[in-house]
Amino acid sequence: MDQPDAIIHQPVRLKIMAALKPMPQSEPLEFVRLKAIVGATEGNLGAHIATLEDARYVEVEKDFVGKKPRTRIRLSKQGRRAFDEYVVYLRDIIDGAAAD
Amino acid sequence: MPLSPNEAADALRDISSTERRSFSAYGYKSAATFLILWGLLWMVGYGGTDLWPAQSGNLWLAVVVVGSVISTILGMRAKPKAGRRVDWRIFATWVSALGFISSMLTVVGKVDDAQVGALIPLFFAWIYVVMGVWMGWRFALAGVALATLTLGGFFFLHQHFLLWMAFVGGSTLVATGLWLRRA
Repeated sequence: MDQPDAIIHQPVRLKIMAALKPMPQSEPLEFVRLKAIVGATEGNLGAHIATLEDARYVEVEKDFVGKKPRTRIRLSKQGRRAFDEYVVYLRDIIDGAAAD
Repeated sequence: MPLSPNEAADALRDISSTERRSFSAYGYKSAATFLILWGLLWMVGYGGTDLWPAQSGNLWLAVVVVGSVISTILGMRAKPKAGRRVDWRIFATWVSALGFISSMLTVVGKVDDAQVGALIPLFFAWIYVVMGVWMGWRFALAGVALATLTLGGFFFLHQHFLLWMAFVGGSTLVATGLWLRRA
């Protein structure tokens, strides 16, 4: 990869992807919890999730628990692959600098 | 524009710390329900042992069997519906813990109800501290609190130790579960 993935290459979106990555068997993470982990405002987080969803990197599920609406986000296979490649890209930059 | 090595290192640090926070939050959420369940079961087990000491063996056997079965069901229900199946590892975890504790008590020999009632929570307190070291500080704090309350009750309130563990120990587990659920 010569250029970073433009979708992931943004601080909030990178944190969203990093927060979803450790979830076992692609279990979803609730929006409220994701907001606390990423440290973004609700509107900002929602906008970045929409960008990731458009790129098919995450899947968004909306349902109700009792009468309360709940939004959950999970990493897609495509998103997991893209994130892994982005991490390799970052490591290559550091390894390349160390080799020079 | 390509990143500089310093920017790449910063991004990797960000990824690592976010992954750690997410991993801890997942661990807290997963453990919370079990802590609440076992806190309630402790109340039944310790309270019952104080009221009917002669039946303590049968009572605890029932508590452990009921707790293990409910824990296994809760563990399965926590998984997404698509991948939901009987997770034998949860049941195996409880059975292995029971096996370890039984072996330990057999080797130690004759112990009274209060000693058994202190050793088992201390064992679980140690597990929480280890989980705290690897998964998130809240587990460690819960372990230290549990060990402190157990030792405090055992040495300073020995006459009422079982009741102490039923109400203070049990409610501490329930409160810790609620605290972790909100973490």
